[in-house]
Amino acid sequence: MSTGVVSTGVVSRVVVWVVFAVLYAYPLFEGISNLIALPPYYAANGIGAAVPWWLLIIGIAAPVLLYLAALVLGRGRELFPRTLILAVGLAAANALVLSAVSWASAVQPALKG
Amino acid sequence: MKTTGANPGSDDDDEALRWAGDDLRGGIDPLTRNRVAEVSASSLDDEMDAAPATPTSLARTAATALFAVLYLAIVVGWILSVQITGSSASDLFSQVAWQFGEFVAIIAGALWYLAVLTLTPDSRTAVRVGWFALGVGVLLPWPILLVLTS
Repeated sequence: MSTGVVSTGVVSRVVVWVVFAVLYAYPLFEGISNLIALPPYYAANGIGAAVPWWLLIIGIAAPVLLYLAALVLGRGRELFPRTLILAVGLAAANALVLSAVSWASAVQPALKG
Repeated sequence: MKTTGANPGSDDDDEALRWAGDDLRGGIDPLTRNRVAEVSASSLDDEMDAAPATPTSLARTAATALFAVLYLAIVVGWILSVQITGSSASDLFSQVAWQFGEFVAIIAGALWYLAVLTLTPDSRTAVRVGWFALGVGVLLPWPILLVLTS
Protein backbone atom coordinates (compact mmCIF):
# COMPACT_ATOMS: atom_id res chain seq x y z
CA MET A 1 0.00 0.00 0.00
CA SER A 2 2.63 2.50 1.08
CA THR A 3 4.93 1.29 -1.71
CA GLY A 4 2.18 2.09 -4.21
CA VAL A 5 1.76 5.61 -2.81
CA VAL A 6 5.50 6.22 -2.89
CA SER A 7 5.90 4.92 -6.45
CA THR A 8 2.92 7.04 -7.59
CA GLY A 9 4.64 10.08 -6.09
CA VAL A 10 7.91 9.23 -7.83
CA VAL A 11 6.15 8.71 -11.17
CA SER A 12 4.33 12.05 -10.83
CA ARG A 13 7.61 13.80 -10.05
CA VAL A 14 9.42 12.21 -12.98
CA VAL A 15 6.57 13.08 -15.35
CA VAL A 16 6.71 16.72 -14.19
CA TRP A 17 10.52 16.79 -14.59
CA VAL A 18 10.33 15.37 -18.12
CA VAL A 19 7.47 17.60 -19.27
CA PHE A 20 9.26 20.71 -17.99
CA ALA A 21 12.57 19.53 -19.46
CA VAL A 22 10.87 19.50 -22.88
CA LEU A 23 9.36 22.94 -22.26
CA TYR A 24 12.73 24.35 -21.12
CA ALA A 25 14.33 22.87 -24.23
CA TYR A 26 12.75 25.49 -26.48
CA PRO A 27 14.43 28.58 -24.95
CA LEU A 28 17.64 26.52 -24.77
CA PHE A 29 17.26 25.65 -28.47
CA GLU A 30 16.75 29.37 -29.22
CA GLY A 31 19.93 30.20 -27.33
CA ILE A 32 21.97 27.51 -29.10
CA SER A 33 20.70 28.50 -32.56
CA ASN A 34 21.55 32.15 -31.80
CA LEU A 35 25.06 31.11 -30.71
CA ILE A 36 25.53 29.18 -33.95
CA ALA A 37 23.94 31.68 -36.34
CA LEU A 38 24.81 35.13 -34.99
CA PRO A 39 28.65 35.16 -35.15
CA PRO A 40 28.78 34.12 -38.86
CA TYR A 41 26.02 36.66 -39.63
CA TYR A 42 27.98 39.44 -37.88
CA ALA A 43 31.20 38.35 -39.63
CA ALA A 44 29.52 38.34 -43.03
CA ASN A 45 28.35 41.90 -42.42
CA GLY A 46 31.71 43.23 -41.33
CA ILE A 47 30.93 43.55 -37.61
CA GLY A 48 32.41 40.26 -36.47
CA ALA A 49 34.21 41.93 -33.57
CA ALA A 50 30.94 43.19 -32.12
CA VAL A 51 29.38 39.78 -31.38
CA PRO A 52 27.55 40.15 -28.03
CA TRP A 53 28.99 36.98 -26.49
CA TRP A 54 27.61 37.78 -23.01
CA LEU A 55 24.06 37.82 -24.38
CA LEU A 56 24.62 34.57 -26.28
CA ILE A 57 25.94 32.95 -23.10
CA ILE A 58 22.95 34.23 -21.08
CA GLY A 59 20.64 32.77 -23.73
CA ILE A 60 22.09 29.30 -23.16
CA ALA A 61 22.86 29.49 -19.44
CA ALA A 62 19.48 30.89 -18.32
CA PRO A 63 17.29 27.89 -19.25
CA VAL A 64 19.82 25.36 -17.92
CA LEU A 65 20.52 27.17 -14.64
CA LEU A 66 16.86 28.01 -14.00
CA TYR A 67 15.82 24.38 -14.59
CA LEU A 68 18.48 23.12 -12.19
CA ALA A 69 17.64 25.83 -9.63
CA ALA A 70 13.95 24.91 -9.85
CA LEU A 71 14.77 21.24 -9.22
CA VAL A 72 16.93 22.13 -6.20
CA LEU A 73 14.38 24.57 -4.73
CA GLY A 74 11.58 22.02 -5.23
CA ARG A 75 13.36 19.25 -3.32
CA GLY A 76 11.41 17.96 -0.34
CA ARG A 77 8.24 19.79 -1.34
CA GLU A 78 4.85 18.51 -2.46
CA LEU A 79 4.09 18.06 -6.16
CA PHE A 80 2.23 21.38 -6.55
CA PRO A 81 5.01 23.62 -5.18
CA ARG A 82 7.55 21.68 -7.27
CA THR A 83 5.46 22.26 -10.39
CA LEU A 84 4.89 25.92 -9.52
CA ILE A 85 8.63 26.52 -9.06
CA LEU A 86 9.42 24.80 -12.38
CA ALA A 87 6.72 26.93 -14.08
CA VAL A 88 8.20 30.13 -12.61
CA GLY A 89 11.65 29.11 -13.85
CA LEU A 90 10.29 28.33 -17.32
CA ALA A 91 8.55 31.70 -17.53
CA ALA A 92 11.69 33.48 -16.31
CA ALA A 93 13.84 31.59 -18.86
CA ASN A 94 11.58 32.70 -21.71
CA ALA A 95 11.52 36.29 -20.43
CA LEU A 96 15.34 36.31 -20.19
CA VAL A 97 15.72 34.92 -23.72
CA LEU A 98 13.39 37.61 -25.09
CA SER A 99 15.33 40.23 -23.12
CA ALA A 100 18.64 38.92 -24.51
CA VAL A 101 17.29 39.07 -28.07
CA SER A 102 16.11 42.67 -27.60
CA TRP A 103 19.48 43.63 -26.03
CA ALA A 104 21.29 42.06 -28.97
CA SER A 105 19.25 44.20 -31.35
CA ALA A 106 19.85 47.30 -29.22
CA VAL A 107 23.64 46.93 -29.10
CA GLN A 108 24.08 45.77 -32.70
CA PRO A 109 26.20 48.26 -34.67
CA ALA A 110 25.26 49.33 -38.19
CA LEU A 111 25.89 46.58 -40.74
CA LYS A 112 28.89 47.19 -43.02
CA GLY A 113 28.37 44.34 -45.46
CA MET B 1 17.47 27.53 61.85
CA LYS B 2 17.38 23.81 61.43
CA THR B 3 20.67 22.12 60.56
CA THR B 4 21.47 18.65 59.31
CA GLY B 5 23.71 18.11 62.26
CA ALA B 6 20.78 18.53 64.60
CA ASN B 7 18.93 15.67 62.97
CA PRO B 8 21.29 12.68 62.78
CA GLY B 9 18.63 10.12 61.86
CA SER B 10 17.47 11.71 58.59
CA ASP B 11 18.84 11.64 55.00
CA ASP B 12 21.65 14.19 54.86
CA ASP B 13 21.27 15.00 51.14
CA ASP B 14 17.58 15.79 51.46
CA GLU B 15 18.13 17.84 54.53
CA ALA B 16 20.90 19.85 52.86
CA LEU B 17 18.40 21.13 50.29
CA ARG B 18 15.91 22.38 52.86
CA TRP B 19 15.93 25.46 55.03
CA ALA B 20 14.02 26.23 58.09
CA GLY B 21 11.15 28.51 57.19
CA ASP B 22 10.47 26.94 53.78
CA ASP B 23 7.10 25.86 55.08
CA LEU B 24 6.24 29.46 55.83
CA ARG B 25 6.97 30.47 52.20
CA GLY B 26 4.43 28.04 50.79
CA GLY B 27 6.41 24.89 51.31
CA ILE B 28 8.44 25.31 48.15
CA ASP B 29 12.11 24.60 48.53
CA PRO B 30 14.68 26.61 46.53
CA LEU B 31 15.28 23.78 44.02
CA THR B 32 11.59 23.51 43.19
CA ARG B 33 11.29 27.29 42.94
CA ASN B 34 14.20 27.32 40.47
CA ARG B 35 12.64 24.57 38.40
CA VAL B 36 9.36 26.49 38.22
CA ALA B 37 11.28 29.60 37.19
CA GLU B 38 13.13 27.65 34.47
CA VAL B 39 9.92 26.24 33.07
CA SER B 40 8.39 29.73 32.98
CA ALA B 41 11.44 31.10 31.21
CA SER B 42 11.51 28.31 28.64
CA SER B 43 7.82 28.69 27.86
CA LEU B 44 8.47 32.41 27.40
CA ASP B 45 11.29 31.54 25.00
CA ASP B 46 8.95 29.30 23.06
CA GLU B 47 6.50 32.12 22.65
CA MET B 48 9.26 34.45 21.46
CA ASP B 49 10.50 31.82 18.98
CA ALA B 50 7.01 31.14 17.72
CA ALA B 51 6.28 34.80 17.04
CA PRO B 52 8.20 35.09 13.73
CA ALA B 53 6.58 31.88 12.43
CA THR B 54 3.51 33.82 11.38
CA PRO B 55 4.84 37.32 10.76
CA THR B 56 2.15 39.83 10.02
CA SER B 57 4.00 43.06 10.55
CA LEU B 58 3.03 46.28 8.86
CA ALA B 59 6.35 46.36 6.99
CA ARG B 60 5.71 42.88 5.59
CA THR B 61 2.22 43.81 4.43
CA ALA B 62 3.48 47.07 2.93
CA ALA B 63 6.31 45.26 1.08
CA THR B 64 3.89 42.64 -0.25
CA ALA B 65 1.54 45.38 -1.50
CA LEU B 66 4.40 47.42 -3.01
CA PHE B 67 5.72 44.39 -4.90
CA ALA B 68 2.18 43.58 -6.08
CA VAL B 69 2.18 46.95 -7.85
CA LEU B 70 5.69 46.38 -9.24
CA TYR B 71 4.82 42.92 -10.55
CA LEU B 72 1.63 44.27 -12.12
CA ALA B 73 3.82 46.80 -13.92
CA ILE B 74 6.09 43.95 -15.06
CA VAL B 75 3.13 42.05 -16.50
CA VAL B 76 1.94 45.19 -18.33
CA GLY B 77 5.52 45.76 -19.52
CA TRP B 78 5.70 42.26 -21.00
CA ILE B 79 2.29 42.65 -22.66
CA LEU B 80 3.70 45.75 -24.38
CA SER B 81 7.03 44.01 -25.04
CA VAL B 82 5.56 41.11 -27.00
CA GLN B 83 3.92 43.64 -29.34
CA ILE B 84 7.37 44.74 -30.53
CA THR B 85 9.17 41.38 -30.57
CA GLY B 86 8.66 38.86 -33.31
CA SER B 87 10.02 35.65 -34.74
CA SER B 88 11.54 35.49 -38.20
CA ALA B 89 10.79 31.76 -38.36
CA SER B 90 8.32 30.67 -40.99
CA ASP B 91 7.52 27.09 -39.99
CA LEU B 92 4.49 26.39 -37.84
CA PHE B 93 6.34 24.72 -34.94
CA SER B 94 8.72 27.64 -34.47
CA GLN B 95 5.85 30.12 -34.66
CA VAL B 96 3.82 28.22 -32.05
CA ALA B 97 6.87 27.80 -29.79
CA TRP B 98 7.67 31.53 -30.08
CA GLN B 99 4.07 32.45 -29.24
CA PHE B 100 4.18 30.12 -26.23
CA GLY B 101 7.42 31.75 -25.10
CA GLU B 102 5.84 35.19 -25.35
CA PHE B 103 2.79 34.00 -23.41
CA VAL B 104 4.79 32.58 -20.51
CA ALA B 105 6.92 35.75 -20.46
CA ILE B 106 3.70 37.73 -19.96
CA ILE B 107 2.54 35.56 -17.06
CA ALA B 108 6.06 35.28 -15.57
CA GLY B 109 5.48 38.22 -13.21
CA ALA B 110 2.19 36.86 -11.92
CA LEU B 111 3.66 33.36 -11.48
CA TRP B 112 6.73 34.63 -9.61
CA TYR B 113 4.60 36.79 -7.30
CA LEU B 114 2.17 33.97 -6.52
CA ALA B 115 5.03 31.53 -5.95
CA VAL B 116 6.75 33.84 -3.45
CA LEU B 117 3.43 34.54 -1.76
CA THR B 118 2.48 30.88 -1.36
CA LEU B 119 5.94 29.40 -0.69
CA THR B 120 7.17 31.91 1.91
CA PRO B 121 4.22 32.22 4.34
CA ASP B 122 6.39 31.46 7.37
CA SER B 123 9.67 32.92 6.13
CA ARG B 124 11.25 36.03 7.56
CA THR B 125 10.21 39.30 5.92
CA ALA B 126 13.74 39.81 4.56
CA VAL B 127 13.62 36.41 2.82
CA ARG B 128 10.30 37.19 1.19
CA VAL B 129 11.43 40.66 0.12
CA GLY B 130 14.67 39.12 -1.24
CA TRP B 131 12.76 36.71 -3.48
CA PHE B 132 10.45 39.51 -4.62
CA ALA B 133 13.43 41.76 -5.44
CA LEU B 134 15.23 38.96 -7.32
CA GLY B 135 12.13 38.43 -9.45
CA VAL B 136 11.93 42.12 -10.33
CA GLY B 137 15.56 42.03 -11.45
CA VAL B 138 15.18 38.87 -13.54
CA LEU B 139 11.85 39.75 -15.13
CA LEU B 140 12.47 43.37 -16.16
CA PRO B 141 10.65 43.80 -19.53
CA TRP B 142 13.79 44.86 -21.46
CA PRO B 143 12.21 44.89 -24.94
CA ILE B 144 9.87 47.77 -24.04
CA LEU B 145 12.36 49.43 -21.65
CA LEU B 146 15.02 49.57 -24.40
CA VAL B 147 12.53 51.13 -26.82
CA LEU B 148 11.38 53.70 -24.24
CA THR B 149 14.94 54.66 -23.24
CA SER B 150 16.36 54.86 -26.77
